[in-house]
Amino acid sequence: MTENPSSGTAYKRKALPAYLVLDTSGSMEPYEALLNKTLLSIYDTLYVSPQVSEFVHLSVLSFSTMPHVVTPMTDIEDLESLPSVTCSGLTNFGPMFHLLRGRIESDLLMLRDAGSQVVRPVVFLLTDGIPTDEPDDAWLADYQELRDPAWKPRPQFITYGFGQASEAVLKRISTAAAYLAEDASEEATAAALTGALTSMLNSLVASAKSRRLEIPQAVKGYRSVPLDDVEF
Amino acid sequence: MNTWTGWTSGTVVTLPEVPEGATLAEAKGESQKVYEIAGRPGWLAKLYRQPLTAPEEDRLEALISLPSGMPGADVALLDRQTAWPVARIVGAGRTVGVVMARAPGKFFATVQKKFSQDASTPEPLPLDWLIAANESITKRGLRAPDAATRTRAVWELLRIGALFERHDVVYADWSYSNALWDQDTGEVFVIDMDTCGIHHRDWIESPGGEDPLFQDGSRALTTYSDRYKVAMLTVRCLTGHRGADPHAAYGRLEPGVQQSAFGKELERVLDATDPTDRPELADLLTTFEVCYAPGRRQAADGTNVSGEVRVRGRASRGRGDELPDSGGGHTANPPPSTPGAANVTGWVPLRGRPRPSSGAPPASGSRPRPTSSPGTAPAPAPQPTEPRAPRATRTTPPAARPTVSATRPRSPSRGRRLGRVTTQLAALLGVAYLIAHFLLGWL
Repeated sequence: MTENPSSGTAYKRKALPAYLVLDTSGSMEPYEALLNKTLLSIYDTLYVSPQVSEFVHLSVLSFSTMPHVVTPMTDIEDLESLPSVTCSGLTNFGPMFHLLRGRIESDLLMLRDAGSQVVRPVVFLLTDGIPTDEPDDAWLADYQELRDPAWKPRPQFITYGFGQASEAVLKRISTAAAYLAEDASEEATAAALTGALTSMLNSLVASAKSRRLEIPQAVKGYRSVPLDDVEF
Repeated sequence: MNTWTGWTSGTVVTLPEVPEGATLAEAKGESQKVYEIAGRPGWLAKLYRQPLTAPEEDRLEALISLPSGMPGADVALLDRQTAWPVARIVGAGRTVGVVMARAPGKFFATVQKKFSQDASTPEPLPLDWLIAANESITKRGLRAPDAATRTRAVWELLRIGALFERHDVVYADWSYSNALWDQDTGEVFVIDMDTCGIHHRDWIESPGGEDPLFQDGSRALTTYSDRYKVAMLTVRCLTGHRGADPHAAYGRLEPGVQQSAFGKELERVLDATDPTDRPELADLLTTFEVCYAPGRRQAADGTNVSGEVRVRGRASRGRGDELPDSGGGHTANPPPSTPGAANVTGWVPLRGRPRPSSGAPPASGSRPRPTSSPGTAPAPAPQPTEPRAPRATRTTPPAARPTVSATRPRSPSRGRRLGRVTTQLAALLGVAYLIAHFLLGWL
């Protein structure tokens, strides 16, 4: 075979690192079973859709008093089982942002080593409350470090707020889109949680088709929060 | 069900004429919704997010009518293996959707889930699950494709690709998800045809199938880019290898296949630095048929492809052409023996064809329907009967190899050929003797 007609990134596979960050504080306890069930469905969608799973590289993180890696960014073929999340504790955003930056650094390295052309990571953040970090704005320093303009892989944020989530906080964090559930009641929150995860999944599937991040246009049961600075 | 000739309601329908049945998809790609048409089993309506622009409308209309001018064998192939658009859906004077056939049930399969308890239901089976490691395929409860299945799938993809190219149809969206396959036989069904261009189409993203010579989106896509995409699918389907670089899949072909004329043609498509150097898909098809003919075919990738090309019982359900059967199995039709459009044996007579029994001319928006089956005797070239359905003409530079004529005469039998040659030789000798004797005075 002769020399390839092109070089460089022509044959590199694009990869989108995607992080689903779930608020698993005590207030989410009523939705624990629903959360776990929906997580399984999300992974099954990746499992039966090679075109999605070869572009979208998903990792799930949870945060309450402390953050945890629920599932690392692993090849779907290698995933044998999924841990379930439990909901308890506070809603500390700062440690979660700190963990996120570390995960992005190592995950991008892994994807590049595997020969992928990595696009800017995206974080889907789901929360039902306001930050409980102390002092109040302590989380902002970690957030700013994660979003440091000098740090090339700074991620995009798409946020979904329900229950007691704060519009101001969502607005402060989001860079691509923010959605706030229209009904804060407990019954409506279950539907809102499902709606958010479905929206995230649809966004990932659409992104896999176009090979770039596709922002959800509208989310059932949510209103879109206008953002001051949309980076996307 | 015939996916093009089976539609009998005209090429333009209104929304009330395509009542909504079960929804199949919402807000996917350029479509707002895809649903089954209530009371019309097997037919789908796809509604666009935005009404089509006038040029898009013209393009779709030309596409819908294009098979009217095709030879019968081509129509038969489209009827079996593509969801060719059959009608525009209009609302408030604009085109708001399109009607097309649903893929037949044999192109559906149940892919087993792993993590959740969600029920698995039969879904369209995309090439994704042919271009995968056998281990991954079987883990999903699907049958690992054997050599015959892979070969059959590739043959069909090449035939469909060559057909498109003959009619200057630019599909461009040759992706893993836009072609379905039957895991029992390897038959292929191409979907999402309504966005095809004629002569060219605007650049689109090709996830996993990026063409190195059409990378930046500044060039319109043509059949030259389709040649590359089909060649890429070919090596990937044969080997099951879906690495980003198609050369990796090519490298997994058996050396015998690589060294065959088919292998060389593949190489030319994949390596060309100028799109016009890419050989036509008809050439790729011809060399493929030679390479994989009985007694001469070489197995492709050792891990995924082994054994002889054999069309199993279910592969020959009498629906269409079959690859030559090396195992003595039944073939529905004689094996293709001529290059390129070997299966094209005649033209569909459109002009002068019988009108509907009412004797009335076709209503506006209706189209003539081929009435002859594949293999009909040659007839005059087809004439589109609709004013807005001109026969496609090639605008791209013609490749070195001329398009195979669909009316190519059959070769005479060997005995007759021998007799004819002997007669011609004797006549020639006679003439030479007369010239030498009477004119030159030699003898």
